[in-house]
Amino acid sequence: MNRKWLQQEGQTWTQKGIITSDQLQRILALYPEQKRAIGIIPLLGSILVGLGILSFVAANWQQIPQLIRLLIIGLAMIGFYTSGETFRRRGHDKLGVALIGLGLLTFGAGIVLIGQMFHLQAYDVTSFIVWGTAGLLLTWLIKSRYLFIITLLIFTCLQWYNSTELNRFSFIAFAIMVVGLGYYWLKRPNTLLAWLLAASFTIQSILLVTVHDWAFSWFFIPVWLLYTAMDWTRERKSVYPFQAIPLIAAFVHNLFIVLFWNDSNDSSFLKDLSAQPAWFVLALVVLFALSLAGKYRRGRLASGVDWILALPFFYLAHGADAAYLITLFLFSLYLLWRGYAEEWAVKINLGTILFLTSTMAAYGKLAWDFMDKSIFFIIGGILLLALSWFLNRRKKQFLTELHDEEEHRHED
Amino acid sequence: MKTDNRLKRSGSFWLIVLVVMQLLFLTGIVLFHYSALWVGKEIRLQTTPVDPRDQLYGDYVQLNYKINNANWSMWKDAEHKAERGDTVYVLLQENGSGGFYEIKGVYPSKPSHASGEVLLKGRVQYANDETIRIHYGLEQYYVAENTGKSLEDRARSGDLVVDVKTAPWGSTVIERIEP
Repeated sequence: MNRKWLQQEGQTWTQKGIITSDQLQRILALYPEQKRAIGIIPLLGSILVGLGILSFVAANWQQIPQLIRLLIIGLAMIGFYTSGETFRRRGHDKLGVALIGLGLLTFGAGIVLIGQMFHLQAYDVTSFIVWGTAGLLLTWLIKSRYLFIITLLIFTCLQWYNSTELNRFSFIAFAIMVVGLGYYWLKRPNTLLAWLLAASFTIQSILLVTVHDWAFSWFFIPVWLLYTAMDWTRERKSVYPFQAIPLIAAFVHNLFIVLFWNDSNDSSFLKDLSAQPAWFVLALVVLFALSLAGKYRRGRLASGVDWILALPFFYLAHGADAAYLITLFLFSLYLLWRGYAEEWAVKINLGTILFLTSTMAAYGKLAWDFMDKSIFFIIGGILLLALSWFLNRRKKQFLTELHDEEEHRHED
Repeated sequence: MKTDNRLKRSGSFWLIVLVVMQLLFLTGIVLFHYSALWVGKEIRLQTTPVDPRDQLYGDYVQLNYKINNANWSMWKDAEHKAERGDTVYVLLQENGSGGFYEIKGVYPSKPSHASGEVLLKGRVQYANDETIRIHYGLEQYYVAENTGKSLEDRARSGDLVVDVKTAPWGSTVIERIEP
């Protein structure tokens, strides 16, 4: 809600006699006009100047004496931070935070450039962890989503570099990120940040498992742990990405098995995937129980159906793909049903996509081998079109009904 | 408004602390490496031809040292074999002819060493049946773009001598490259 909206709507209210124009003025006085954000032109100008200086320095970097290089890095960093803080104090919050972000990036660039000065290859990620921690502290200090995202990127990239180049996983970096940014999120819940944090958590879980050459299914323990933890939070509105990403990961995993495995295959594929049954199943059951307990406390026991995606069918000697296919269908239908019941468009849309994906997977699996390929694609396309037409019509009907209902309610 | 300003001011104080810490950190790394150049012990290392597959053309020259490859006979742990990603300690000893330093032993943990010997920390790049491939973080030498051609050719044929300085606290830096 902004002031402009209030001004426009307020006029209608006075016309209808709900409030007097004097009252409107008093209400408006409660929301003073915000200082105008700095115009886009000076912002673009400063970006261009910055890029120019950057490319000049980069082009002549090798010719510049070492001491001067260090001075340039230090001064650039101080310059960005100081100007950012100055702008922030004057009320230009966005520009100020953007400059502070540049200061943080300069710090990272400084670490890399100093390494180059001494002809050193990045050998471990300790200095990058220091960089990420600086970002974390800045995020806490300035309370900015923008800095949160930069920090998240630093931690994700350093873990990526660590595992792909150095074949290691830094538990310290992972812990700092999860605790620092996770706690920040709990204090200031936000949907976008939840999506990003959950995605990074999931990517790093994959890296953790691949770096150590563990059976791939171990990946699901941290992922379902994330899911379970979120059953215990009080925040509901913007917490759902933390559960959506684990569910998507599990869905994709099951879909993958459906598509690329069948009974005639060599079963070593599934064996490579499977963790030791006893420990894995035990861990999964503990998480499941905790999750249900959390759901029960919050009165959302129905969403326990989510867990059908976690069923470890990869232990089956036969028919794992068929079993997974059934879970895909059940889950997407369940999601559609919940979407309509909760009147929540996000769930309806996601359910639609997943249902179509499951249908296509089933169709591809059944028909690919014995059908002429052109007929395969034509029939597949028609199937897809028909289904999406049907589901969309259903959704539109539903949403109009919902709309009408609300109108009626307002008129009453 | 007043509390808001006060909040912002205390925020500024912590921001200054944070920026100063970042500056100190950068200065710290610089001093850590400079210290090796100032007080470190100089060792000469011989290069060998670079595996052409390793070539990554860019603004640096790839160096391949003789000490990058260690024979399994140098490995000083009977129980475990070195694996990719392991941190190892390589004991170097001056060889009589030419004054080059060569591998005396590769250890999984820090061994004690005599005054004439030098200990470098390295990381196992890979280990096959014949050798352990160890990187020290000294394998890249940054040069101005497009000027490193002759140096690169010589690095590839492996007739460069590299002077490295190493300080007892673990900082090791290339001092110069000799023909």
